[in-house]
Amino acid sequence: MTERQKKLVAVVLGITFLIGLFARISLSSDLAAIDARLEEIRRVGHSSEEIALLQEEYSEKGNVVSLITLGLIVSGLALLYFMNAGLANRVGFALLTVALVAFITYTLIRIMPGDPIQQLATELVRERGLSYEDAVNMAYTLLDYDPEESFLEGFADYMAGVLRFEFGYSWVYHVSVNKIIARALPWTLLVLSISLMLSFAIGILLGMAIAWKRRTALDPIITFYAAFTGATPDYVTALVLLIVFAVNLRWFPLSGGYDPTLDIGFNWPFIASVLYHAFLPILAYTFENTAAWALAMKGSAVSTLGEDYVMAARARGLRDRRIMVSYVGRNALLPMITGLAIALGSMLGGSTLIENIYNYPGIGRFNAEALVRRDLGMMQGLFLFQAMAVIFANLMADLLYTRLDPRIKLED
Amino acid sequence: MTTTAKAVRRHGWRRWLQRNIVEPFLIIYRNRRAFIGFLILLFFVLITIFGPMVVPLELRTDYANRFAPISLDHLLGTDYQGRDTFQLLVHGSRETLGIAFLAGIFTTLIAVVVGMTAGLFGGWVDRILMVLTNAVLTVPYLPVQLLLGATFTLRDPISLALVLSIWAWGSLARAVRSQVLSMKEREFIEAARVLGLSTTHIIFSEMMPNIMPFIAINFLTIMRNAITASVALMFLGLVPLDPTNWGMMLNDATSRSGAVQISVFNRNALIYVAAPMGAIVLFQLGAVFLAHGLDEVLDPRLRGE
Repeated sequence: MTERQKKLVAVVLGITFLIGLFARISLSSDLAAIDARLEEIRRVGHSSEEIALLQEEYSEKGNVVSLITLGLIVSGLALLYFMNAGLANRVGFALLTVALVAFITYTLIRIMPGDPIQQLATELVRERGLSYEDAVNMAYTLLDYDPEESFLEGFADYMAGVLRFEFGYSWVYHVSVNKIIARALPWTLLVLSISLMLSFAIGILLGMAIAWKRRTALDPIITFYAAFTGATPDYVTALVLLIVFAVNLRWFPLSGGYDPTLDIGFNWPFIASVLYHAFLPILAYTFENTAAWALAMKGSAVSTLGEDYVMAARARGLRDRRIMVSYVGRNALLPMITGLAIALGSMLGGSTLIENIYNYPGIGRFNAEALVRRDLGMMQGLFLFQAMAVIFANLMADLLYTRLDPRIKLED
Repeated sequence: MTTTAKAVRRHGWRRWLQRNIVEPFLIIYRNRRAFIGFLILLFFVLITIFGPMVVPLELRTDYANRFAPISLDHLLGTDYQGRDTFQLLVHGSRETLGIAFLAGIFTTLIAVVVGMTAGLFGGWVDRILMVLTNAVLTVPYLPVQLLLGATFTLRDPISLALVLSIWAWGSLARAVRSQVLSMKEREFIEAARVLGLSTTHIIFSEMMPNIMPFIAINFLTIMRNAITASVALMFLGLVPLDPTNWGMMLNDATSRSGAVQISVFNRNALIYVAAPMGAIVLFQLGAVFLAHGLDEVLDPRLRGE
């Protein structure tokens, strides 16, 4: 292809992308309106005819939205390929992983022992007082699942939902999983971001210190600390902290995210209470993760110390502090960035148990509840969401790393 | 097995013992950390094999004796039903460590098959397997285990071990693949090829012995992860196995028995809560020490330090 043709294709793709984006935005607001009406009707009364009609409309429009989204993804990826092939490869791989995870969750619904439709229908009859027939119909639409469909047709339907970022429906709470995520995510983000930053910062400083001055007492202590936290599952640490500081010493609260007697808002008592409740979970995560950062940083810093430019800096008589911060620290820090995404993944994985132990109102506690109460809808929705978040974080870390370190090129 | 038999026939028992038992032991013995880890793991292996024969198991409830302190009768006190905590731990070790061992074997098998296939075949087989491996590595391990554990009803150790290994083979498979790729270029494999030896011979007699120590270290890590995940599953109450299983003990200790709350006015309850945690952490510590020590021994870059 000549340069001119390439440009033409890129422009056409760009225009298609923009039109698609516009259509998608206008249609999804329609969709949201239908969804709100459905919810209203379901809450007040239950004229099953109207529900069926609305649901029909919803799934029709929803399919259009999903198709447009698919088109957007494909054209966007093609556009990216013209600009930067390596980048498009990475993004394409991340999307492929998401598709694979969605396929696995869908397969689990299909091969799960017992009939999920019947299970959800009986639950609906019991909790909503619907007639059994209505309940079964509702269960079909809520689950996006039809046993008459072939495996592939069903998967296409499921993927249509995934493309609209609809993570399913909770059987226990009777709301969409998106609503649960919207409510729980801020709590998890608060705790995870603070602990990630704390453990990263402390770990980096410790790692630098032991790389700079070998043969101090600090080195074997950190090594043992790393072995110890490596051997202790994070939920054991969380439990010990809970038993010691919350149950026995009563320094910290046993459960919850804030004191419910306070009014929620941007006022000091509320913020203080939020931080007070988040203290133990943050301590547990930070204690578990700091040593690993310290060891990784030590390894990275030791190999940087051997570089010629460090020797040159020494020869020029620069002060130790300056060499340590600007020459060794900065360069040794770079490879740590990919570790951030991995750490986020493992912390998110551990959150199910830790938030359950502290009864903290984040994603993890809802996940634990879904698992224990066999709320398959919420379980799979939350899993898909967590997986997507980690895949996205990995992609971002990858791109950031290649951006910051010019020695590394994106390859295919 | 046949290769072992052949080697024994060729060199005699003494030589075989020297190479496969004495030398590895000496390597472990010389590294202090590895040796401590080895002793801890040996202790657990002995308890797992002989413990249940020596220590009787009394599951009868004895409420008068609940949360008894440490004494000669009850080495680690008693639980919320007056059962001896030490007995429970000893008898639970078989199932807890057995599941982890099985999961380790399954995971290693999958990883070696995937890694070897990808490394030996190359081309599109390699590409597909590596995309799959990357996906397994990207999506974190514990959420997958929890989802699988909640979806299926797991009532026996073997299916639990299978579930624990489905998503655990990523890093080992990738490492085996790169080892195979680097070995493919080395002289002794080329020589074997030129001599016209069969592919099975090359894989099992030439390549396998070279990656065995490497697999052994990874096996320890995989077992540790399997214990963490299986205890997590039981802790959430998803896999109702034998009540002596350490995960079940932890679940009992923290939820059903109320021992955590009771510990405020009866300190002895803490011993009961701490016992399964201590056993898990001690075993894991042993595995970490042995793996790190072996790493140092086998990786010449680390040996210098």
